[in-house]
Amino acid sequence: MSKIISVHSFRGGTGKSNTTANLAALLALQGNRVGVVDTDVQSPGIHVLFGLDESQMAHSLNDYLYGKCAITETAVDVTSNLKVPVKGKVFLIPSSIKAGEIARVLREGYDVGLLNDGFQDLLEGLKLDFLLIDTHPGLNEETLLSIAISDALVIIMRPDQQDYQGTGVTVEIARKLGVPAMLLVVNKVPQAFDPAEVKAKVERIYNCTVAAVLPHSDEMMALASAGIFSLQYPDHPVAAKYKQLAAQLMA
Amino acid sequence: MDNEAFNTLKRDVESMTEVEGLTMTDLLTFPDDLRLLLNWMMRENGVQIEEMASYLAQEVNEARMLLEKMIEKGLIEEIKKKEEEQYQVLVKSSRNYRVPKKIWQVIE
Repeated sequence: MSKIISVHSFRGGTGKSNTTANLAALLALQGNRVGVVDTDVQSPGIHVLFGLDESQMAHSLNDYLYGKCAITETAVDVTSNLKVPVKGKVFLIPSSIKAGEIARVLREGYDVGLLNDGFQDLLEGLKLDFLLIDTHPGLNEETLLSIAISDALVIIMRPDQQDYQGTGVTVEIARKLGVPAMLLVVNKVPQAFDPAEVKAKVERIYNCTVAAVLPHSDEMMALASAGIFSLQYPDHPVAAKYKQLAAQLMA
Repeated sequence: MDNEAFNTLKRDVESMTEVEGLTMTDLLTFPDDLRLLLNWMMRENGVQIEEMASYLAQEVNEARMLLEKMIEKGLIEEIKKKEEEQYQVLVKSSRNYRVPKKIWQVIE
């Protein structure tokens, strides 16, 4: 049975796209067929992690949302871009990085209902085991829809007072929308912090399981989105945490 | 769902004003049982009458009457998928739509 997983954060810069890309790669390493949809149409970016440039995008999610093509036509097989042997597949559904198309989305919006139909078409058309949705930070109709239809929601936060407040809002919304599984991930935790204390504090605040506490990593900063961290540093402690998280999603 | 909860659900649907599709923000303001029912239908991306009756723990006829009322109110639509009649949530287009202020009231 295929699963839809939304990866969300209330604020930007939490490492949402990096987490999504790492999870997609790790799930594919285990033999799964994985789709990744960049629904952050206002500020797309996950294509960079998969080494995809504009010339490789025949179509984008924007084309589907404006009725120019089927959503399956927008999917790009990026498995070979991972540059390691992978048993499964990763398909990326990128958002357009053309300024004019981003401006159109901001100006006109789009038919949110098409997203749900599109996700289902991707699951069936590409025979996916997992569909990961990289959402726009904060709350709007699109992110609410993604959360509402997900089998699991991964919420990323940093140990920052602004994130604590915003994450509370997202957790509350997810509960109202009856999301079957909710996984909290605390990212970019300074080395000076005790991960066990951070985990206990976050779980106490939200009454929700923390699936992973990821330490801040200079190596990840240095990689600067030029690849998938857990594939390039497979023995790094952060990679180990991503693997744990992927295992929880497969369970 | 017991009969009392089902009757409350029916009353909640009957008392709604008609809409042309749902926004997610509207959904958040609905009573719990109605919101959870619509959430479930969205996640299933279309349900058959028997599945609906099973979810509600009601007879098929009772489920059908509720579905008809929900169609009348503009919450769901009847569609044909793989030669089968199904019901799915009607999601409103967000073209030129901005999240209303009530979203913050919902989560306060």
